[in-house]
Amino acid sequence: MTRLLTRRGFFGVILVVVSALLLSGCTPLILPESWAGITPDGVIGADGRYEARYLYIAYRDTVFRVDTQTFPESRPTERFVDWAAHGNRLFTRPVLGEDNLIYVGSYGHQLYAYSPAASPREVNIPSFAPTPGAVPLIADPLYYNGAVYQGQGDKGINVLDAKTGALRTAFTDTQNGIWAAPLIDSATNTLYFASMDQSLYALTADTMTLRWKLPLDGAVGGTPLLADGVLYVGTFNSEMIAVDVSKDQPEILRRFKTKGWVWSTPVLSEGILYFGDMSGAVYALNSADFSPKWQAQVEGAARGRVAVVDDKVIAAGEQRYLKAFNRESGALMWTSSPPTDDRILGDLVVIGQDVIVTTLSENQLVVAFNLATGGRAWFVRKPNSDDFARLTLTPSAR
Amino acid sequence: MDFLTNPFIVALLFLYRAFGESLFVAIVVFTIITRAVTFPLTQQQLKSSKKMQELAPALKELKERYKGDREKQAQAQMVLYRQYGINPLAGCLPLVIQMPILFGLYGAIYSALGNTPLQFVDLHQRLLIPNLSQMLPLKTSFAWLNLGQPDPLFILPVLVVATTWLQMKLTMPPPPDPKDPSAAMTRNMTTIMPLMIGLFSISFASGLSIYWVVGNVLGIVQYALMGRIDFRTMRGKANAPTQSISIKDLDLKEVDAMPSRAKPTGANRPAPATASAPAKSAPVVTSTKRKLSESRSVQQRKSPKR
Repeated sequence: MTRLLTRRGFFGVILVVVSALLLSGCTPLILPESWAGITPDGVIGADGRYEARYLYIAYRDTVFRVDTQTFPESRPTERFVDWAAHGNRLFTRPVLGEDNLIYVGSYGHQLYAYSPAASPREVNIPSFAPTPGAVPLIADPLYYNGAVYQGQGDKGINVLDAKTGALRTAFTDTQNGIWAAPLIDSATNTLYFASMDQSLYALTADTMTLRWKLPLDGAVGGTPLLADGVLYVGTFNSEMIAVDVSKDQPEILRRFKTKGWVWSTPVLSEGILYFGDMSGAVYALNSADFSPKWQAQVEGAARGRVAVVDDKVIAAGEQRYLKAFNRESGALMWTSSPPTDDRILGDLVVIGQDVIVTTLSENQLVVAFNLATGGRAWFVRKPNSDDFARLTLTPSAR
Repeated sequence: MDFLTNPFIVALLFLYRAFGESLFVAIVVFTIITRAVTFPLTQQQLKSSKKMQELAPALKELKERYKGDREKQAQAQMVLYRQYGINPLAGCLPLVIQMPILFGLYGAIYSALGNTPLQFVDLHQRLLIPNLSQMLPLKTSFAWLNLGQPDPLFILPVLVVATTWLQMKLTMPPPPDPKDPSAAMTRNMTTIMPLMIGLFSISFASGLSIYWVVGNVLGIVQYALMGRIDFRTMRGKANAPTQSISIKDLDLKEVDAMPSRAKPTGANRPAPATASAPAKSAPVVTSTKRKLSESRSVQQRKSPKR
C-alpha cells in the first residue's frame, strides 16, 4: 500500500475510485428505467378527446402539473408548469383521487400521495405511507372507491386506504410482477389484471379473493380493455387475445398474431380495435372476429396507446415521430414535424386540437402536435431548480 | 456490439430453457461454454506472455547495451524476437479478439436480466427468434438472490474481488526486476482492478457478478491445467524463467554497424560507457536517464555475474 501511495499512483487510485463510485453509485440515477406517465385531469369523451385542461406528469424525481392553456407571453410554444413537487424515482402515471390527491408509484418501492389543491404554486411534501414490499412499483395505481390498488413489481396487488395509505388487503398469489394498472368492473365488483407471470386474473374487488386465473402464454405489460363482457389483452408473446369474461369461467374467444409484442391497451371504437405493437405495426381489427381492416407502420416500436380522434388514428413511433392514419383506410395523413428530441414510449393524449405525448428528453419532456397538421404546437421541459423557485413565489410575482 | 450481443442472448435463452428455466445454471453453463470456446486464444496469450517473460532479461540487457539510442534498441529487439521466433503482438491479439466477445457476453447477460420497462424495450429489439418471447420474463430467483438485482448481502461483490485478485495474481506474475516501471504498474493493476470491479458489482445485477466469479474460477482452472500455477507469485515473488535467454547468442553486428542517432547537446552529457555498451557508440541521456543508468550500473556491480 505504501508503494501505491507514490504521487502518480496516488492520483491514479483516486481517479479510478472516483470513476468507479460515479459509475456504480450514480448509474441508477442517470439511466431512466421507464418513461414519463401522463394523466389529464378530465375524462375521455366519445370523440376520443379528453375534456381536460391540466396534465399531471411524473418522471424521475419530479411530479408536476402543466396548464395546457397558459404560456409565457414571449414563448407561445411553451406551456406553464403551475405546480411541481420532488419525489424519488417516480415512474408510474400519476392517478387522481378524491380530495385532489395525486398518487404516484416509485421505483423506490413507495407510493406517494401529493396534494396540490391548497395552492397551485405551493410545493407539497409527499404524505403517503410506504407501501409494503421491497421492489419497484412499475404498474400505474388505480383509484377506486376510497382505495388505491397498486400492483407490485415482484408479485401481487396491495389495496391501500386512499387517505391514510394503510394496507387494507392484498392479493399475493401471482408468480411474477404486475406492470399495468388493474381494471375494475363496478357492475360485477370484479377486479381484472394481467401479470408478467403470463396469466389473467379476476378477483372480487372488495375482498381480493380469486375468482379465476387464465393462462395467456405470454407476459402482459398493459391494462386489458373491457367492452361488452369481453376483455382484450395484448401479450409479449405477440398476440392480441379476446377473452369472454361474462360467465363464471373465462373463455378465450380468439387470438390475433402480431409482428411484435403488444404492450399497450387497445382502443375500441365503432367495433374496430386499434393498437400498435413493438415492431411498429399499427393494427385495425374487427373486434368481432379479429379480421384485419388495415395495417400500417410507424418508425420504431409503437409502445404507447394510440389515439382515435375524428377521422384519424394517431400512433407514436419510438423513433421520434407521430403518424396519423386515416381511420377507414389506414392511409397516412401526416407525419409529425419536427422530430422529438428523444424516443417516444408513452401513451398519447388528445385535448382539443393538441396531440400530446411524453418523450425521454428532459428538455422536451411533454410535446404537443397539432391534430390537423402534425406540426409541433408546444412543449414543456422537466421542471428544474429555477422552476421550483418560481413556483414557490407568490402568484403576482410569476 | 449488437451483432455479438444478440446471438448471445438467444444462446442464453436456449440454455435457460434447456436447463429447466434456471437462470443461474444457464449463466454458469454459458460462461463455461464461452470460456471453452475461447480457450485456444487464452492459451496462446498465456504462452506468449510466458515467452516474453523468458525474454525479459535479454531485453533488459539490450536496453543497457543500446542505452540512449531507441532506434538501435528497437532493431536489436526485432533481432531477438526473430531469432527466437516470437511475435510481440501475439500476446495482444488473443486479448483483442476476446474483448469484443467479453463485451458481447456482458451485454447479453445484462439485457436478458432486464427487469425494468426500458430494459424490456431494449430486449425486444434484440430477440432474433420471436418465439423466445414466451420465456419472458426470466425467473431470476436463486437462493437469496434476485439475479436481476444487486446482491443485498454483498457476498457476490466480495467473491468478485477475491477471485479477480486471485486470477490476476496467478496469471500476471511480477516481472523479474521489481524496480522495473512495469512491475509497479502490474502491482497497481492487481490491486486496483479487483477493487474497481468489486465496486461495480455492488450496483450490477447479481447475474453479472455470477458470470464474473465463474469466469475467474474457470480462468484459474485453465491456467492450472496448463501447469502454470505457481503460488509463490501470490506473495509477490517472480517466477523463475524456465529458460534463460541471453543476448550473447544474438548476432547484433548489423545493429552495431548502424550509425548512432544520439546527438549530444549542451544540456546533455554523454553517459559513462557501461561494460556492455559498445565502445564506438556514444549514447546520450538526459540527466534523469543518466541517474537511472548510474543506479542500474551500481545494481549491476552489486548483482552476481551470470
